[in-house]
This record gives sequence, C-alpha cells and structure tokens, in this order.
Amino acid sequence: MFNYKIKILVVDDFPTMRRILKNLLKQIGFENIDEAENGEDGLRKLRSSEYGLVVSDWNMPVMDGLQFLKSVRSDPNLKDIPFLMVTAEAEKEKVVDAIKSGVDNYIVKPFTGEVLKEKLEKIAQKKPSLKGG
Amino acid sequence: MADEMDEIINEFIVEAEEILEQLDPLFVELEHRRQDPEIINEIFRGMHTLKGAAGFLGFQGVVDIAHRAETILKKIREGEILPTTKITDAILKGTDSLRILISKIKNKEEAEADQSVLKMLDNALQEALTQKPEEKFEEITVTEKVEVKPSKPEEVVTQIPKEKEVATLRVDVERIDKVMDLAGEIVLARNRLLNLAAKLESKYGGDDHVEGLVESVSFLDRVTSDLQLAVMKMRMQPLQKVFVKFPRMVRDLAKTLGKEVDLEIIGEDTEVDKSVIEHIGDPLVHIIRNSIDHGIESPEERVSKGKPQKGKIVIDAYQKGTQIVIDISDDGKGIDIEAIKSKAITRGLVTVEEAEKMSDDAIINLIFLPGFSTKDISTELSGRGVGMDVVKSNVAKLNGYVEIFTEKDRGTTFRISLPLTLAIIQAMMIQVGDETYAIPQSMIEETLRVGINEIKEVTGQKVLTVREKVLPLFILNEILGIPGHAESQKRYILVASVGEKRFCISVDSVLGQEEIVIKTINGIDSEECGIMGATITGDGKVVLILDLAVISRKVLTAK
Repeated sequence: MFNYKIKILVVDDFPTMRRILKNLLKQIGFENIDEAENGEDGLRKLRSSEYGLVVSDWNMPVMDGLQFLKSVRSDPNLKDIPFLMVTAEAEKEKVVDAIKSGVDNYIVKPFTGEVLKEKLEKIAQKKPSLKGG
Repeated sequence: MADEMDEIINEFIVEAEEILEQLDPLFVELEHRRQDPEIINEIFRGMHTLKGAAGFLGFQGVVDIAHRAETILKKIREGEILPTTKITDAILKGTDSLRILISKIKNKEEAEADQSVLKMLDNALQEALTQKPEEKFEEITVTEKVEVKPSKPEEVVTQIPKEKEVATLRVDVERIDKVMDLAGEIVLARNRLLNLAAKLESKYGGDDHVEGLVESVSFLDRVTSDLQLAVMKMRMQPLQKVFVKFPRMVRDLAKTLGKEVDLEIIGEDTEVDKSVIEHIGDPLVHIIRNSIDHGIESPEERVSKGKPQKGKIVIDAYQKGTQIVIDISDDGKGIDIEAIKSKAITRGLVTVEEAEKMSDDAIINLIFLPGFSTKDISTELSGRGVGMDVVKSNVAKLNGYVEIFTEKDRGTTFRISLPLTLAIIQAMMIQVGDETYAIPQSMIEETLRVGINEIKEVTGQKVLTVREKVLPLFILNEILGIPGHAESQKRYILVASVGEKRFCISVDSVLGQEEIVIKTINGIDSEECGIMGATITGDGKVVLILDLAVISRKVLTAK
C-alpha cells in the first residue's frame, strides 16, 4: 500500500497531538516517525536528514504551518516532499492559501485512522515516492 | 494498544492542566488590557489546542466548552466584541468547568459538559454581538496616564511572542531526591576528609603521599561544592508556578467582598526549591486573603480618606544574600494594634499587665498565636480558625520566618524570608560549656572578641556597644541552661541579625565555620525549643543546630 520504510516528520507544538498522530501513523503501518515542535524545528530536521512525508499542524508558535509549508517548497531539496496539513474546522477557508502554496492535501481534525489513510492514498497517487512496492 | 491509549490520555491530562493553569492569569490581564493581541492569541491557542486533542480522544465535553470559548476569543480577536467583565466571567466559568472535566477524566468518569455553563457562554456571546455600538464601550475609570504606542496594524497582529525555548526533561521526583540525598552524604564525607587531611598535614607535613592526599582532597572539596550547587539547582523552579493563580484569586475575592483591588507581581522569575513551591502557596494565599478582607478598605472608605479608590497589593519576590524574600504589601488601613491587644486579652492569650509591657512589635506578633483568629469573624473567608499561626508554622517548616510591618492607614507588609537551600548551609560552630552547637551563618553578622569590661548593664539588661550602636546582649549559656566555663577576661561575641532585630550572643568559644547538612529531627517542635535540626560534623560528632530566630523571639519579647 505505502512505502512503510520512509521517515515521517510530525510537526505540532502540543506533545499530546504529536503522540496521537504518531500512533495513528503507526497503526497504518509506518515504522519510522520523528517529531518537531514548530516550523523552524521542522525545517532544521528536514534539512539534516531524509524524510518521505511531512504531517504538520497549522497553528504553532515561532513558525506556523503555512510559513513552514512555504519555506519547505522554496527549498530546492525539499520542494517535492509529500506534505499533509492538519487543520481545524474553523481554518477551512484558509486552506486555499495552503493549496496555492503547494500543499498536497489537508485533513480536518479530529479524524480517524481511516480518514488519514485515505488522505495519504490520495497523496500517493500524485507522489509515487509515498507508494509502496 | 490499550496501554498506548492510556499513556496518551495521561499526557493529555497533564498538558491540559498546564494549559488551564497558565490561562487564568491571562484572562485577568485581558480584562485590564482589552485589546492586547498577544494575550488574546495566547488564550485562543490554548483553547484551540485543548479542543484539538480532546476531539481525537473523544472527550466531547471538553470539545463543547473549548469550542465556545475559542469562538468568543476569535470574535474578540476580530474586533467584533469586547472582552467585558461579563464575557471574561463566562470564559472563567468555562475554564473552571474544564478543570472539573479534566479531573473527571483522570478518575475515568464520564466527562459531560455542564449545560448551564454552555448556555452561559452562548448567552454571553449573543449579548455581546447584538449590543449597540455605543453600549459596547464600558465605563473606563482612568486613574493613571495611558500610553498610546502607534504601530502598524500588520506588525501588531503577526507579533506572536517567541516562546522561551528551553530543553527540558521530565524526571521522577524520587530520582532527584535520591541524587540530593547522595550529594548530601558526599558533603558530609568531604567535611570528614578535609578534617582528617588537615590533621595529617600538621603531623606528617613533609611526606609526599600526605601532600598528594591533601591536594586531592582540596580538589574534591571544590568539585563537591560545585556538585552541591548543581544538584540544588535541579530542584529549583520559578515562583511563577505559585503566583500564577493569584491574579484570578484576587479578582474573585475582591468581587465577593465588594472591594476593588489591583495586584502587582514582581520577581516571579525568582527561583526556589521545589519543596518551597509546594508549601509556600497556602501561607501566601492566607496572607493575601487577609489583606483583601481586613487590610484594604471599601472603595467608599478609601475615597473618603483621600486614597485612590482601588486598593493595591504588591507581591515582590527577591533574593537577599542567602535568603529568598517574599513581600506582600497592601496600601490598606494597617493593623490596629489596640484591637489586637484587646482581642488577645479577651482570648486569654496574655494578661492585661503583660500586654502593657509589650512593644508594638510584640503585640503585632500576637496574631501568630494559635487561637487568636477565629469563628466570630464575620466573613467566611479568612477566619475559619485557620489563622496566622498556620502561616507561621508552615513557613517555619521551610526554615523561614515571617515579619510584619504596618502603619496606620498607610498599609501593611508581610515579609516571608526563606533560606535559599534547605538542606546544606554555612554554619558557625560555637562552644558553650562542654557542648558544641551550630548556628546558621545567615543569621550572624560578625564575630567579635571583647573584654569582659566592655559589657555593660542597662536596667537589668546586658548590652554591648558595637560600632556606636548599643545592642542587647545575651549569654547563650543562660539561655540554654548550660553551666558555663569560668569567667575569662575575654568573651566571644556573635552579632546576630534576625530580620530587623540585631543583638549579641556571648559564647565560650568560636570554633570556626563549616558547611553542614541539616538533618531534621522528627518529633520536636523547633518553635518551642529553638532547635532547627542536627548535623554530623567533620570529626564525626552529632551537633544540634540552633534557630536564632526562635531564640531571639523568646528573649526579645518582653521589653
């Protein structure tokens, strides 16, 4: 289904949220999951190691999700990395900004493992690096 | 799988509690600084975060309340409504409700939102939205100059403060305590080694091995001091943790009692040992309640006295030498000394004759006697028989003491002084008769050696003139009831200062300074006997540590 060997970066400033996301991703079958507290932290990690997917929250201090997305897309090494944005119901109008800035998909919280899997499958259709053998 | 969920839920609970704790003082500030976008953003993010995680974990009750609070905050952020008292009341009720829900979750109970709270939040929002523009502006009484800083709109909105990024690690308190214990043992062992090394050196000075040993022990000495400091720092936390709940508490109390009170907190970054954080809260709460209840006058009374309508309470925490000091000051009516005198007499705590002989200071300190404050006090808040005596004993348990300074109609200041580190202190070792005692260095200003003829007597009280100041002098042998050595021509004198009081203590000899570990003795009341603990000295003896604060109070009470 997916390339389960890839390293995933989960970005959210609330530790409990990171754990929940990590848990859901593990249930889908991914084994290698890293965490970052905000966009700045996330960028640093993305630049120092090879990741196959980024799952990021929107609302974070220091550097929020949208800024993080823009920074990632403008970095030549990272511009194609699969990026899933986690948003809240109220932020749905702003999703247009994320789409314009090159996000691959977005998911509204709270969501189940099933919904997460579907969203990742949609991304995999366009970004074969996420697909498994 | 179930364990994983349990762990995630536990983490959620801990973090939810932290967020709620940090939110309360922000709301109170929001009331004062209505349009501050930083505060609004921070509160919004707190609610938003809670809602997000709760949604995943299926805690619908939390989601319901957090969602409404979040909506209100969003409207405030967009300028559609103002954070009036009604709005903040509603949100505060919401956070209280959230706290209850979180503890229900902790106890694995059903966590359903209180319908009345939800209604209150909905109503508050509706009302605020439908208010006519002119009505939206509440009366603002300007008591101080208001500074208006011009700034570009975009600048203001995107200035979300950078969070203090400190790498932290969650560690079991038990593990830290174990390390502390071991560090304490090392200090004792180090003292012993220093002692033996010195003795060896004087006996076998030239020997290479002895010299090598002395050098090593000297190095060990330095490293041990560093270790002790580092371990002590591990347990230190900023007083902010204690102070965080005060703004809300003051706000609610003042409202209930019909007073208007402004709270200012200075020095919340001051760090203290964890045990202080745990035990200083109650005494502080009690003193603050006291200030609002009995100190600060009603707005009308204050205006009639020519004071500003709003009373002010200032909490100031700072380090002074080897002590941490917390001042709680109010600008109220001060403590009525006559009233205390008569109440103490009525309660049978002193006789009329004793009361007449007491200094003002001593009378004020009567409020610390158990049985002083009680049930016939009209308000339910500060007089439940939980009096100032509990404040004093709680502070004493932390090896600290409380002082009171008051001036009629100007106000009252309660000063709590605490040692910087509870367990290891610098002490002066002294000898009285055949016995050795330790006295905390923090209480000693200096040591002198004087001729016996320099000690004078004034109306039955021995005194000594130190640098042109006449100080009362007490003989420690007499205080402790120990037969002293024969009167020699010279006496060793310790000039002590406890709080604002200075006095002299005469001892038989001064042995020197030593760094000691305070071991508490269970089953004694240090308030009664003036002994704060014991220690094992460098040469292996058990020595009692004297509490000069207690002793001074006993000898200085009668004027």
